[in-house]
Amino acid sequence: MGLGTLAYLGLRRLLDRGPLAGRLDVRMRQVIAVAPWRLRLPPRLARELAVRELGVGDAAALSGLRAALGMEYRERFRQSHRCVGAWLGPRLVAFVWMRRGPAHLRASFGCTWQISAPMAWLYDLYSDPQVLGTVPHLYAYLRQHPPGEGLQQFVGQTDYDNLRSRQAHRSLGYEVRATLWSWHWGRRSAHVSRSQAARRWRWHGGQGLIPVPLFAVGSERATVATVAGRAPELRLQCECGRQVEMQGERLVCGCGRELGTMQAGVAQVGKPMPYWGEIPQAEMERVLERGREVGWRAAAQELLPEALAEYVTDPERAAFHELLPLPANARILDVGAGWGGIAARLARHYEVVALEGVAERARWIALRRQQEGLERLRVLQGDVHQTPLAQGQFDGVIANGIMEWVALMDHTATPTAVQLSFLQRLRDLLAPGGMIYLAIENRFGWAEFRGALDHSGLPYTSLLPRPLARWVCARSRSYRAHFNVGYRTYTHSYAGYRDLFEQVGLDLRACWISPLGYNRPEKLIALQTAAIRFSQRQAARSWPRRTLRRALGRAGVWRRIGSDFVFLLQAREERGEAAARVAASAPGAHGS
Amino acid sequence: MHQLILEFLQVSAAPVELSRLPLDDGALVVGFETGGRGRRRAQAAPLWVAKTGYGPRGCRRLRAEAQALGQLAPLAGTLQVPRLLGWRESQVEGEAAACLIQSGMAGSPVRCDWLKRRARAGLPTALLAAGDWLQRFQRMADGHRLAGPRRGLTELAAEACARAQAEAEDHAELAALLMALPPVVAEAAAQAEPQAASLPIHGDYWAGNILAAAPNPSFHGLSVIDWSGLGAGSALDDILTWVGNLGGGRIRRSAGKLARWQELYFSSGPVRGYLREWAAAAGYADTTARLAFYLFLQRRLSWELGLGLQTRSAAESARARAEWGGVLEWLARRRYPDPFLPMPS
Repeated sequence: MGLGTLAYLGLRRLLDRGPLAGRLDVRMRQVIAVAPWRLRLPPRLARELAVRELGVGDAAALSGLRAALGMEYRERFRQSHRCVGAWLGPRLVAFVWMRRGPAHLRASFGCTWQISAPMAWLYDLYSDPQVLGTVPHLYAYLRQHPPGEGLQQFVGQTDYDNLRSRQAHRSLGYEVRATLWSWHWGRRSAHVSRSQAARRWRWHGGQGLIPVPLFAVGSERATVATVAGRAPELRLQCECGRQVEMQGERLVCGCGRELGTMQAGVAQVGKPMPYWGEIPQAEMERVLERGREVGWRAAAQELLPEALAEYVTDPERAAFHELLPLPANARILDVGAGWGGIAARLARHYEVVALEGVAERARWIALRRQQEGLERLRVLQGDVHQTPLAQGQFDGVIANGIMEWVALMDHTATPTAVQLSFLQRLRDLLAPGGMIYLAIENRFGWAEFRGALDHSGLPYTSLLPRPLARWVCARSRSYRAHFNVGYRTYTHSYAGYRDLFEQVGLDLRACWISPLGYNRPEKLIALQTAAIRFSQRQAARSWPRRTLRRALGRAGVWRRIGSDFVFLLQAREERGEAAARVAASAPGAHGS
Repeated sequence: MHQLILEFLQVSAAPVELSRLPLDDGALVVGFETGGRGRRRAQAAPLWVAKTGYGPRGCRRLRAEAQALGQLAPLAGTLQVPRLLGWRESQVEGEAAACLIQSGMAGSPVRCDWLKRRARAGLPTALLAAGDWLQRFQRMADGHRLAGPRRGLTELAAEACARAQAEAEDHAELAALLMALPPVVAEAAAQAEPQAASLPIHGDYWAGNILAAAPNPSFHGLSVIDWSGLGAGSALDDILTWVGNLGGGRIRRSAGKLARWQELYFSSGPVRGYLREWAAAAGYADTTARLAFYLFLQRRLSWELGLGLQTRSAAESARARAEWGGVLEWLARRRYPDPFLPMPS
């Protein structure tokens, strides 16, 4: 028993027996939750105990164990509440009641807690005092039944006075989600509540509804709610504000303006971009032609250099989708889709729009789309700034290795300003709750120190001060340096990226290190020491290596010299906006 | 993101940080508690581990593991094995997909490098601790009948021979390898004691699947993961796998197995003495122990050739073919010796 409990019990004793007895009542209650991964299941009774669902026919057995508190047992069954009981031979020894949906609990001393939880609420748990250790088995049953849909989390409430109940729950590994102090003085009452999510006390003067937010606002739940029910069509918007429509092969606005054409499965909008790529334009045309004859994969393997063919046909280019908290009907924009490796794989899971500036590459993606039968993939040819995409329509925007190149397309401003404008544009395209997946190199990454080629085509230029890098590039004969006039392909450090995001109003939801490079996202390690250590579980055999790996396997070190960063960003919302959205998405929620 | 993981995140009380690591036919998505600093947090176990699998083989492997974890649930706390938190199979664009979520386990794979330690007297602590864990598992799992009702080893031998026959028919190029051992198994079964019974086995009990929370593990500090191979086998099956893979992944899938196995199984030394103790503890006579050994070899051969639940790359399969060719030839030259008896001169 802790000091806090002793103090509380002392206070209760003082109030119950002192001069204020019967006038002042002070109580503390807790909302508790048991996380399944912390549930400790004693093996005792495992074989003797039979746990099963109870029905109306078992109402007599329930009443025999304990008379109903509040609503009658039969009435609960009629209202579709679920009851699970544990039997020791013919004898019912424990039961727990459960119902789905948000809970509205009327406490015994005149206030109501409103708990909006997308989960089942457990109530009226009873266990025969002669048979101990039954409750975990009830929980274990609820977790596994019905198969595949078992409860992931258990929530209940307990009186702080009830030491036995608290002890029993502690043995299960529960955690406190909210605490409520209540004072009653005659007919008057007041309450103070604090929840784990809010982490501060909130005063409630009179009686009434006390909201207990169990979950942090702005969670993925809100994203899901936003996505549901949206129009699935891609929206292009003219400068006049009207929607663009397809007329034959032309994309025409209601104001009469023609914004582009539809050719070979590619919607061409905006100014065409001059060709650039890994292979010369004539060769690219040949690959396209061959792709039409023998299929895109065979053509790539036949005509492209081996490393490039492997890159183009790699099925793991979009492996990161397993970390994107987006539902199956999410709409995704792949900016700078290149050879379409990511867009084509993502289109198996989501509605995807591939936006590519180079016409030949856009046609290549359309070829893949046609040959793989990817109905959920659309191909747009154009620049992200000039393509008239309507704002706020994508749940996810993918920018894989794009941001460092954007300043080459716009020489009117500094590279950082162009990058900021690019990020701002991506932010505008996001639907409420949507996310940006941004993959880019670390300016001071380990690979850069080891001499990996920078975007200038030369090693070490990202490590140099910018003016020096410009000077080096101006004197280099490298193809990329010639192309990269004035060294405009800026990469940044972790802190530098955070600054950029901050300026645009993007919140960092997650950051991963991609040890194999961002083009091979099958391995993405969260920037957290525990995650880094987990990824290094297979220890090196020699002790110097083991020691070095252990010393360097820290978030602080990886943040500074990790090779490639992958960021998951979310647009920062005004407080009122977020609250309104969460309130709308929470089933049955209403304010106090 | 797999729908099951998404739903799991929605009901998470606190924000979770995710990592992704590649797996055969799928991936490992690991959830860690967000925030916090310090040594304890750095060494914290993941909150949960989700395995995703694609294609028929990936789904079959996860299904087997989900069933195994469901069966192991009553023993999870005592034996320190993961708990099953969620399981779902679905179709993504016509392709089978599956997802399994289990609780995260603390620790890192045990290190037990027999190559470096062999000159020293005594057996490594890790070997003994893992052996203790295995004995405890066999006792408890047998009590719960995890692998179904008990069967005789001779019955298992007949099944193994039939399976080898079927695999040889499906993979004609591997027939010579697959059909080398069944006659030996049948002969050993004819000589073995008829009353010897099967026990539940882990199926892939090697260093990578045994996690130790401390550098010098004891039974209490061990937890065991990857239960897709849970099934019925002999009492020696897992310990032979464990002993054969001492040294970790490099030996597990590498050439030079023959030399290593000769040293471990067929040379007099502390390991063979330890295995003999195991056979005696299981109540196996020499003839039954020989049957158990060749049953283990048959299962291992099929597994390493990529016919089990695990996926093998073409290079790995080719290497396994070459390596097992050598092992089987060596055994045939010595007329399939008994590993638990002194080698005939």
